[in-house]
Amino acid sequence: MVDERKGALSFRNIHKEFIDNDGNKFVALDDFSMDIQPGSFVSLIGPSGCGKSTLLRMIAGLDTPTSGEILLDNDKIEGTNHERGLVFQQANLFPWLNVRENVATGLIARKVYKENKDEVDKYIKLVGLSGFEKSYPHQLSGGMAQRVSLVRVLVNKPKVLLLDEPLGALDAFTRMNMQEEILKIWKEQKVTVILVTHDVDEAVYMSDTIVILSSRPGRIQEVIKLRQDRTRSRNYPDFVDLRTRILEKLNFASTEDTTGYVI
Amino acid sequence: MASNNRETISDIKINKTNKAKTTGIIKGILPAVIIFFAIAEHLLIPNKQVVSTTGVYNKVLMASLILSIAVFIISLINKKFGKAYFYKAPFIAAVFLFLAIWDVVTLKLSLLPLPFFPGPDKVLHVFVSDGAILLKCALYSVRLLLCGYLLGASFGLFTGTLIGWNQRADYWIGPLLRIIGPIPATAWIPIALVAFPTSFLASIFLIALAVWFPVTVMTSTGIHNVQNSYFEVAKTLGGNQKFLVFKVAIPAAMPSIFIGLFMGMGTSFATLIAAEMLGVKAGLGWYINWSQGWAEYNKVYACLIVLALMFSGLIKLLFFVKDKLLGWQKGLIKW
Ligand SMILES: Nc1ncnc2c1ncn2[C@@H]1O[C@H](COP(=O)(O)OP(=O)(O)O)[C@@H](O)[C@H]1O
Ligand SMILES: [Mg+2]
Repeated sequence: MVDERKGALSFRNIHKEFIDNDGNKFVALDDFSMDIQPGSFVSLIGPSGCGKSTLLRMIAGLDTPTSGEILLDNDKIEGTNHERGLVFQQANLFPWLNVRENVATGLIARKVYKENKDEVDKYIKLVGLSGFEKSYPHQLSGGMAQRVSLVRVLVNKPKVLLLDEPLGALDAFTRMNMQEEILKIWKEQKVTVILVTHDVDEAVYMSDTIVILSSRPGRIQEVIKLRQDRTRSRNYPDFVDLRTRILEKLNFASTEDTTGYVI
Repeated sequence: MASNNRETISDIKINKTNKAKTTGIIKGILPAVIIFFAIAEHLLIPNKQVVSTTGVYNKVLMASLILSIAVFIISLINKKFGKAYFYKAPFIAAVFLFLAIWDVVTLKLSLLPLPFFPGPDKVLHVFVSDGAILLKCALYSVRLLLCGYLLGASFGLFTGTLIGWNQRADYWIGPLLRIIGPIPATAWIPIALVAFPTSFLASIFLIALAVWFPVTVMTSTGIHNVQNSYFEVAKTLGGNQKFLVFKVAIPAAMPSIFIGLFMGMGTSFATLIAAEMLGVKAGLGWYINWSQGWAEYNKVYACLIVLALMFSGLIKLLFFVKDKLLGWQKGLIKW
């Protein structure tokens, strides 16, 4: 039997307000509507504070929109579910569990560990951490910890993989390796990926759709579709053009912001 | 020139290791020497205190002398054992030096008043004359302590988790804990003794109470302080409430819980002794009180020695459990 894995997301007029420290209402995200096809790779890019993390948290079910709704395969998202896996910017591994136990957490939580034992080892191997199963988080490098945090989500076989700047803290070399790994997994599993990133190159290299957000309130400024059948390379002719275009947009987005938010 | 240099360096090295070896050997023989002098002092200096000596102290010293010489010889043969023993030897020597000084100050020179400060012979003799009773009392105390401690710790873990996790529980139980908790359990002795049918049960209650408070406080603060991100991770991975409590909150709070368990151990010792001195008709606390009533201070000291060994043993046991459960902290936090 073929594993029927969908993962279509649609956002309908998402509006999110927070109450700030002075008790004032403040709009983090406004009028956010879009549809994401199953299996696509979408990058969110925009100045910091424009609501990217908030959006991911709402998809994950950790926050709820003030108004509007998010649908996954036509079902309204309510609460957390392992089908929507979130990789945080910090690895946030459980320090009292070793690598293997950290990776197995989701399976254990869902009481499906016994039948999926091999999966745990498979994923640990996939990200090159074989031999480190018994290590504790404080014994790992930043890159290794981030790999663990990625596979502990993957082992749950989510329909939607949410990545909140997961590579931000890594050095350039580790970062490129992890980008390849993520792409490989994405292709293999046909999972819908939403990647938040600060790095324009990363967005252009990885995604087939780039969503540029403007800040205060966070709104969709532009959606850029890339040719899906393109061969991914870091120096194909359009790459530089695209990059310049996005950077211009981002610059525009931040100069318009009179409060002078720093990227 | 270069090779000359190297020779000098290796010469220094050899000198150094030789020197270390001799100091090691001197350290290793030190206990035997001190014990020898302690025996000489005990046998040769005439007694000034008018008490009968029992010879127990002398026998203990003799046995120690033989043992220390045997251990010294083993140390010379087994390098690894030797290294460990030579490290400890000066301390062991100091212990016997202390015994000798104690003997001189009391039995030999009678500088301290009797019956409050008996010599080492008198105190050691208690282990011969009253050994069986002491053992019985010790077992009785351990039983009481463990019953009370385990009960109090389990309850503390339960209420601490409840308060730390559930806001409504915190609203109702929190103030009770903050107002009643700080009262030392010993203050409840008069009430406990009438409220419970037997003094044994009353003591269990008191000890449990003494443990319950710190364990509850440290468990609930531990859980309060767990990073929210751990819960968020667990939730997005598919964990339910039960999972969040037992697999995230409690393990994350474990270091704090252990601080509570150690604090509780201290309070439980105090409460045990107080309860036994005031109500229970057995145990080491009772034995101290009873000996004091007969002005047999040598028994009080003997009992204090037993208490010291017992309590330090229990603390060691708790450290062992902590190391098992908090092994993941190794190299992360030093206690
Ligand atoms: N729980 C919260 N309470 C109040 N304000 C929040 C909360 N979470 C986020 N915000 C605010 O919402 C805005 C968007 O935050 P975030 O989504 O983290 O931005 P980004 O990830 O794009 O940098 C920020 O101004 C932030 O201060
Ligand atoms: Mg963010």
